[in-house]
Amino acid sequence: VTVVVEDTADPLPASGVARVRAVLALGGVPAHEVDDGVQEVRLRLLSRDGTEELRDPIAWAVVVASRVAIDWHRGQRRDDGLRDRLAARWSTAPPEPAPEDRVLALAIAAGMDVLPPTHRQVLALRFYADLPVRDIAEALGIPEGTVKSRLHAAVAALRERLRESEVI
Amino acid sequence: MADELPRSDAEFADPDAVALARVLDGLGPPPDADPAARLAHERALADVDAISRALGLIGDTLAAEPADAAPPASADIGSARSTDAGSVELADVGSAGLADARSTGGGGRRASSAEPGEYRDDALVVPLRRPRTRWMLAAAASVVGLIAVGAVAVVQHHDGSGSSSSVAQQPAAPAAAADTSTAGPMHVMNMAPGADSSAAAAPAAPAAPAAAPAAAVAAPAAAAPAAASNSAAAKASTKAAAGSGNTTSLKAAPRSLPAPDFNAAVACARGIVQGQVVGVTALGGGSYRLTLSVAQWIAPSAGPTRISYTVGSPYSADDSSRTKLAAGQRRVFIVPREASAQVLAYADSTGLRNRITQAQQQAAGQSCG
Repeated sequence: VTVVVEDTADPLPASGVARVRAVLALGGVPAHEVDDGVQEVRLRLLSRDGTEELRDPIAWAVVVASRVAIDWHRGQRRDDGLRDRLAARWSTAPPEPAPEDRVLALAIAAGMDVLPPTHRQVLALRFYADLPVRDIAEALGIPEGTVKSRLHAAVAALRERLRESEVI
Repeated sequence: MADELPRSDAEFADPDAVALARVLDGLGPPPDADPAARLAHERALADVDAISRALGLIGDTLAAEPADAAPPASADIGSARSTDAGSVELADVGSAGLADARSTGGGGRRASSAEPGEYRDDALVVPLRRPRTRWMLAAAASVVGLIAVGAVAVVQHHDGSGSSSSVAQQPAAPAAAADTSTAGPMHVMNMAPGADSSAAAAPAAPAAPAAAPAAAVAAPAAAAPAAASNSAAAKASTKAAAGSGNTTSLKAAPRSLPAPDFNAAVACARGIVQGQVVGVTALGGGSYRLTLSVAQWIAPSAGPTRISYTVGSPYSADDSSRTKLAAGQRRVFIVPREASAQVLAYADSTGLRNRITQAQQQAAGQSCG
């Protein structure tokens, strides 16, 4: 069975590039390394066993992207922080979202900045990539219970932060 | 409801935690849920929805982030993050400013209270260990301080409340750290943090000239970053400057970021490379982009041959001095974790490599927080 992608020259579907970039960024990969991360995802797509059909190549790609982000964190490097990057982006790339959404997103980004990489990973996969818990567990090779507990801990931490900052 | 749950799982004794778990599992409230539990469920639903929306917004925004995006307000926002009050008004005028810069490494920063988090970057950076320069600056600052004395009383009279608010706006410079023991005989430092300094500031200005040299000599060059500024001294200096209207002292005042602790910088470095400076570009807001041509990656063990970092100073520091970063310099560069920190740069040597290795070994298994 052959993996069908939109562009045979690019193993990563064009429609998935933005999602991969987003998951890398949410995982803490800094802006100047996001392109390298996308390339890494492409490489992993190319080097995977092609005999197995991908049910959802984009979902697979975002999971790979989340792993790339984790690997990046393991390299003991740190980014400038999601919150800073978000604010910087909005300061140079209007239009900005509605003020209340901006406040909310900044608070969440600040909360993400202090979460462990594995928690950021499941948050991005669950709430940005919209992957079900079962699929996340399968893709990451970890028990569903682990995904749930990480998700719970991460969301609880973000809720707490939102309350402390009186965003919610 | 809590009684029905396993006692061993204290987390789920909290109705909010129970509701959140159910929402994350895609479940509705239990059929027999009481009104409080239903309310908790609605709250959890709303919160998860908000988080989901926010993550979508963050992800979509950053997916469009250009690869060369320099966080123009990286240091600024970073400071705002720590303060969230926005502005930090640290004066670096006169001898008190000198002492402050020495003891905190952050005394040289100056931001307008009208523009939260925006640091002006127009002051002179002075090498930390050049006694002659230091003494000259201290002398110049002393003159300014003396000139300002006459104006201080007037300024204080009109600005009593303003000085208090400037303290309130300095959560990033914790009052806890006023280290009077190392900062020299500046009795104004002993003022209680947060107290209105209007009265105490008056003697500060005349005391400053004499105090400056002692403070400058006594304070360590590589002060702990967490060391707080002496807000009272800073305020006194601010008032002096405001009163005199003399900007010369502002230019003469040192701007120094904390020289990062070597071991901490190595342990949590964004990168340690042996290479050459390609360029240093001011990004505004006190941030600089340092571009390096990498001859050898030390940490991580591999990387691109050219890399750029956002740093907080156009100067590099080693154990005893500071040097302006300039194209062509060959060093071993240790880029600390914080984008607002300055880079450590050393001549390559076996000793340095061993030192780096030792620092890495000491930090093994520890988190950078």
